[in-house]
Amino acid sequence: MRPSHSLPELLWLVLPLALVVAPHATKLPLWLSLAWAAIALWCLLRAARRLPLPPRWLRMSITVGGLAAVFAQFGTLVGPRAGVALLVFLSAAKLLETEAPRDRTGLVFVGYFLLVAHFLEDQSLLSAAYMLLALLALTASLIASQMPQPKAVWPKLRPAGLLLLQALPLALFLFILFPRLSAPLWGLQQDDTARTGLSGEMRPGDISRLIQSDEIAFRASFDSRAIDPRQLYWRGPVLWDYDGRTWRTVQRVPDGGIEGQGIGRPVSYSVIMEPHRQHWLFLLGLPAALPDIEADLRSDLVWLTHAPVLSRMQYQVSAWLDYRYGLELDDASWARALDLPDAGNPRARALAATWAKQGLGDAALVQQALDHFRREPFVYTLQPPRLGEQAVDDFLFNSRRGFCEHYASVFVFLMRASGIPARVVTGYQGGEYNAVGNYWIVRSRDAHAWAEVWLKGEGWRRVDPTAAVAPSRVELGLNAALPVTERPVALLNVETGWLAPMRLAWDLVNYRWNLWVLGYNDVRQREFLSRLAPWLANLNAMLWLLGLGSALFIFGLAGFYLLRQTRIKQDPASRLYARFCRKLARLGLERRDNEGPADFARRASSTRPDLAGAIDEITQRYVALRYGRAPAETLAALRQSIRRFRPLRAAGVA
Amino acid sequence: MALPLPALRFAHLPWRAPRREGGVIRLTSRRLYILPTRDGLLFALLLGALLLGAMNYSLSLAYLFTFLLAGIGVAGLIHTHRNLNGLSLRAGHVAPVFAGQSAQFVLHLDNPSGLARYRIGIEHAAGQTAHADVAARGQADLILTLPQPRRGLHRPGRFALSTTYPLGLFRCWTVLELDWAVLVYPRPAADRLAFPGGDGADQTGQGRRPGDEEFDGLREYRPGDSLKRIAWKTLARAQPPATKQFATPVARGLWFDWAQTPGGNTEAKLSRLTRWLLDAENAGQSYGLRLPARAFGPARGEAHLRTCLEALARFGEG
Repeated sequence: MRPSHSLPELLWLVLPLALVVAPHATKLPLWLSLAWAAIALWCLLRAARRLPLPPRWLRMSITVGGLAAVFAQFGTLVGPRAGVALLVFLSAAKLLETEAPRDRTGLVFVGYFLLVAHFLEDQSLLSAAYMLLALLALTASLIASQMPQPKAVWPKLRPAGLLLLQALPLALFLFILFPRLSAPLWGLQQDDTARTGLSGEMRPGDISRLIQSDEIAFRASFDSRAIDPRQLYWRGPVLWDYDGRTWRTVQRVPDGGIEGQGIGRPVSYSVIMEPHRQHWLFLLGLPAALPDIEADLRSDLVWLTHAPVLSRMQYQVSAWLDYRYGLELDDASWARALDLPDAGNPRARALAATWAKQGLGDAALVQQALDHFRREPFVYTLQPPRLGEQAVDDFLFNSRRGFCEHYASVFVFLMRASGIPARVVTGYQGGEYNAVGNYWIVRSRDAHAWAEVWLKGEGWRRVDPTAAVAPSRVELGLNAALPVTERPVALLNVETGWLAPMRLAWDLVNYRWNLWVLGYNDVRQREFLSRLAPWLANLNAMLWLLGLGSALFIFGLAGFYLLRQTRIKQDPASRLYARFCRKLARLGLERRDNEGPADFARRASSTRPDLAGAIDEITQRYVALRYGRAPAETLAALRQSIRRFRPLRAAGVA
Repeated sequence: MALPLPALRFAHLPWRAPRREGGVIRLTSRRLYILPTRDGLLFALLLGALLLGAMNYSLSLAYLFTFLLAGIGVAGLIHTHRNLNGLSLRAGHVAPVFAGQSAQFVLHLDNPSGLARYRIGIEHAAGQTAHADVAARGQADLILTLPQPRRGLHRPGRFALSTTYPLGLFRCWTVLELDWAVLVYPRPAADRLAFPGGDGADQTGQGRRPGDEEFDGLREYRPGDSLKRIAWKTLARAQPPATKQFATPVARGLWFDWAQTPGGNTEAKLSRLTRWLLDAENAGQSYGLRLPARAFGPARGEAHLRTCLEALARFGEG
């Protein structure tokens, strides 16, 4: 058995491994992170002090104990999370007994695996840059196991960097051409710990919680620059059913059957959505053309995917921002859009009844309700008081403080009570325009709720009661609408401070990253390839080119090195000397393989004493050029003397 | 260093006929083989697993890094190949050894290229693998140490020159057989035995050989003889010029005779003779060796000793 690793040798293993384990630490159970660090430190100590290996029974029990603990923690040893935890633990256990170089290679491979597994958690640009460094370190560690001098750092980092650079063309080529799947190979584990964005229900407080968050919901770019933020009502779930407290959609709404007409020219926009683990896709306006993805458009203009959105996805829609739709309302929808709980909120019902009795048209009645919000002292605030049992009454006549969810909810209640079909729409409103990249960033805090009422002859019309109370919410965004004291401090600083342009530039980089690198899926791949060359966008062509290109890459790299070798072989002095040898060979004096120039000259001179002077001169010049430090003129002199060397065949030799 | 196909280690593959070579050998890609090591196969397995993961979770970065790793592997293959490609080598001197010792076969490596070469190993079925680095445009020696249990002239046979640098995922190697031999003297007998008696010593000993210590008579002058040696006295007597001759007396020489060497068999006798030769040389005595077919000496000195030892080493060869 080889002696144990020395400290520098072990550092070459432990440090790169620590580099890949560290980012996992936040998601791992604390005891595991601590155990890993403890074992790694102990191994370094052992190498430094030259302590013996821990006894076999101890190593075994640590391994078995760790496995049991991982199993106890996750209830399984497979699946991404438990798998990563298992590998992290096993890498520590292996470190504990690593002796031979063989173990090192295995550990580096585990490191590679953990490195890639981290992308399950985080695929950001920073994470990628960090992992590139870790990749370099792990590769250097692999090289270190092939290199005897453990302390030298540069001789290992340099070839590792070189390998990485040389790998880059092939990697990019494969990345672009390797066919992407549209569906996973096996079932993905549902992970419902984190849920962001809208929930498909609206309980009091839901949206105000969302508004606290800076998390990005999606980014959108338009083909035209003139987009009025007031038009940006990104439509999410439509809520039909109210139980006195919560708005939701209990029954299915039928698919399709949308009768609508756009006004003017449709705009085209592209959305990159962050995964929200829900089904709906955010839609703006009345779609003129939808992309061919696995999603259905419901009759209430809600667009639902078949599978929850678990990874970032991108779609492109062409739609009219001005439109009418739903001119006919079927009976079932009619009844559903008027339905209210049987009892409760008597004062609100009474108010609606007085409006209904005035004999106004439906449109005027809607206006009457909005005027009510405008006229009465309603306040837009993110910190409304708690509402009592009769929430609508309490809000309308007591507190009068709230934000979009309150206004939308109360407005729809009033509309239904006065006989106008209405529903709540949730989604996002506005967003932040990134002028550098010409796209909109829509965050959780842009979450919004508004109302739709159905008017005869017009269909469904969007009404935003919040805009009646706080017009700046729609025109300038949330911050402008909030009282100064309620504006989040962080938002205030970043949005108005000198950092703002940098922040937007950084978001632009991330946007492009998401669009081109992370969002490169089967759809985008075909789109990109067909833009490169239309014939490329089919599987066969991709596979052929993939094979061909990879072969080209390998032969290219090999050719590069072989060419270098031949160049070296033919330095001018050797070439001239070879010509001299050919001239002598014609006389029957062949230089033997193992004969040095001096030996050959001696032999040749003794066979042909008449040529001795010339042979000696040429040999000396060649040796000076090839093995010594000869001035540059020597080469010319050598060429001269070899050109002049025209020996005649002597009778005795032939 | 694990190999997928250990049998290939020293085998010439069909496209290269085995032959013994001399002189400077330049390793070209035509004589280099390259295959993945066990780690290389494991690495391929890892890449497959990573690719499956990337596909299943459709993680763009997982794709990218898997392909980067694949690229690193492929680039590593070429680096491994070029680590041997273009290297020149030449068999070096092999010092004779006694049976039971290890012979050191020196292989001179010459790197004509501007790329340094690392960890080039010399492997032999019977010996430990040794490694050397060769700097850019530099030279280095690789020493193959092989135990030599039997006397005689031995060829080490095939050996492999190999490398797994830089990643250890591929092993590039060539199988060589050089015109290379080591002379193995018989193992000296362990016990010291007195030299054989002087009875045979004077029988054929001439007693003296030309030298300059004692006067040994006169002979006719030949042009070129040193003036100092001209016998001026005889010249003065008007006799023809004569030159004085001198001779060095030879110590009573030892004769080691095969026929009179104790020992049960040939090897034991050879061992005994070897021991005597060494002891005699150490003692500074003059000695001769008489074998059934040939005789050497008597004389002393390194060259004489080697001649005698070689005769013993090759005793009984056809």
